[in-house]
Amino acid sequence: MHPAIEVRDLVKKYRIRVRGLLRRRYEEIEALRGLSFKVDYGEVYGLLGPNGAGKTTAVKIISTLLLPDSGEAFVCGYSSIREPYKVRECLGVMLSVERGFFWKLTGIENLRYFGTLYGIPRGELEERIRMAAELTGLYEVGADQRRFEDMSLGMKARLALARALLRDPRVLVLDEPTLGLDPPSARRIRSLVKELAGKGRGILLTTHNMFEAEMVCDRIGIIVKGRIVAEGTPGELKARVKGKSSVVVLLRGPRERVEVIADAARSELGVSASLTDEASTGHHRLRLVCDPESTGRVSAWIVEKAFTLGVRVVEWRVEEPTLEDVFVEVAGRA
Amino acid sequence: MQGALRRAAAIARAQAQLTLYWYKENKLMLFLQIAWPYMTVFIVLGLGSAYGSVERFASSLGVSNPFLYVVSASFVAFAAVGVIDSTSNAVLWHRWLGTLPYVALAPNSLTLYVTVSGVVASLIGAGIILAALAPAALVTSGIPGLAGLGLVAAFLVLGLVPLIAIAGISASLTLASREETGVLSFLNPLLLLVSGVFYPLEVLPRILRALSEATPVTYVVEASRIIAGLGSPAGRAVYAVALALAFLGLVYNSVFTPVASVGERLLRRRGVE
Repeated sequence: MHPAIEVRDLVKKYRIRVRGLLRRRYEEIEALRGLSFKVDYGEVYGLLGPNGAGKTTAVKIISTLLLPDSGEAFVCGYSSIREPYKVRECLGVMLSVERGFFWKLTGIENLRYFGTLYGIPRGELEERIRMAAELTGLYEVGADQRRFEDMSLGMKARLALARALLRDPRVLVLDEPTLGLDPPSARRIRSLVKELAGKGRGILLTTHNMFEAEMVCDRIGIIVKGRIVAEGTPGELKARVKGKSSVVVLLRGPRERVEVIADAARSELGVSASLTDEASTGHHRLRLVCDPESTGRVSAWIVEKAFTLGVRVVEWRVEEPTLEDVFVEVAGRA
Repeated sequence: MQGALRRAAAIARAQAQLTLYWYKENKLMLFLQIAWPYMTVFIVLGLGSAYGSVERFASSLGVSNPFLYVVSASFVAFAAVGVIDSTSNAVLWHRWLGTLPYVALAPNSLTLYVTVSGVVASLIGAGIILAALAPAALVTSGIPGLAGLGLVAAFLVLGLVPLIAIAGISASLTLASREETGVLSFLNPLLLLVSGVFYPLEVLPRILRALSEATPVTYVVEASRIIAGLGSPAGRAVYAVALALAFLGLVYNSVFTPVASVGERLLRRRGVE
């Protein structure tokens, strides 16, 4: 039996127009450089990568919205390049949460329009809408009778997922489905994704949220610069940094100075380092993956460096490595 | 073939639904759509009376019933503008709303969507203008006036064939070029300028007169003139106008088909956004 999604050696280059002082120049960007992976039915496959890694380009090619320069993409055994209409019949797509609906129409009116456009027979349409709305909880949040322009981001996300489910597709492609959502809405979408995969659907989900990838995905492909650089279950991927430790330091100070510390740690200590901002506290979280015996030396080095640059160390701890550390390690090498 | 017809029917139903929802949510727009043709009629007739008699106006236009002519010409003008707007500019509207990728995800070509949805939206728009102007035709020219306006509507439907092809070419170019504006948006005023809607074509320079002969709106306007001048040997002339529209339909559609095919391929190569 064919997989739900199969992607083979996808290559896509874009020509970006850059305005020069006197004349236009063009820059070529390689969005995909031989991307290959498979998604089975009943599985959530996470395409995990930083911004600009090529996730959305891959999603668009699979969804028939973009042609690659070379390579193949199949959905339900049909070619996304040569048989786009057959692919669209068995595919549900969620590209963006904030846009993609008619602002003045209610949730149900939007679903009725897209359902009719997608060719769902008149006799079945209302039942399909009811099922999709119930599954995504549109009724419980009142998004069915509310205009799209008056909906919260969480409601919009549910509506976008409901539209993707209208055709009762065997395969779903979700491009960053929880981006910008509050924690309860994101949790609801994640549990829905798991539920849908449990009913036998093959699901491709793109994200740059490590926690989400670890919670939802059965398998993960880490994509960096248009290519899968590591693939496996969350457990298998974490095994790649087995025997390592993570030093987590919470820092307070100007971000530029914290970036200097992260860069210096990479170059002077030879460790993988990732930096994230905590919006609620204004702190910067620096994670460094190193050998367990080096944690003391690394910590002392960080404290000294922070002191020199006038950055305050708020908290310091040593943890077991997470998927984020795998990502940092793999992406750093790539 | 059967599959394409089924898809066309689905697009038509969806577009009808969307247009009706749109009017329901934009009632002021509906009011203005009904009021605009009346404003035009009053302005044209008002200016006509201010600078000369109605009889002079009628003789300049070559019609025996200037009221019916102005009413039906207004109908043609507004409906023709509506065709370009609801076909070519609709793709820009989808792009701005972010609905274009989801419309493109329907199991048919984007060209079929643009064409069918354009026809449906244009027909609904023309129907609203027709309903708005029908009382004016009835009051100024009685039952024959109403019948004349109906006949003009039939010609407009025939004129839709080449007009939709022109609007489709414009939509294809707009999509393929990824510009933030309608590539051929200058067509709207041009169509009205050279069609002779509100003044005789004889006043136009020769080059514009040649352009007017290639414009479908010209022939629908010509049909209005013939109908408003009933009493003259109109039958044969109406037949000639219908033939001219059919010919233009053939010409423009034979251009539209390859342009749309290339445009759609180019769009997929650059990505539907």
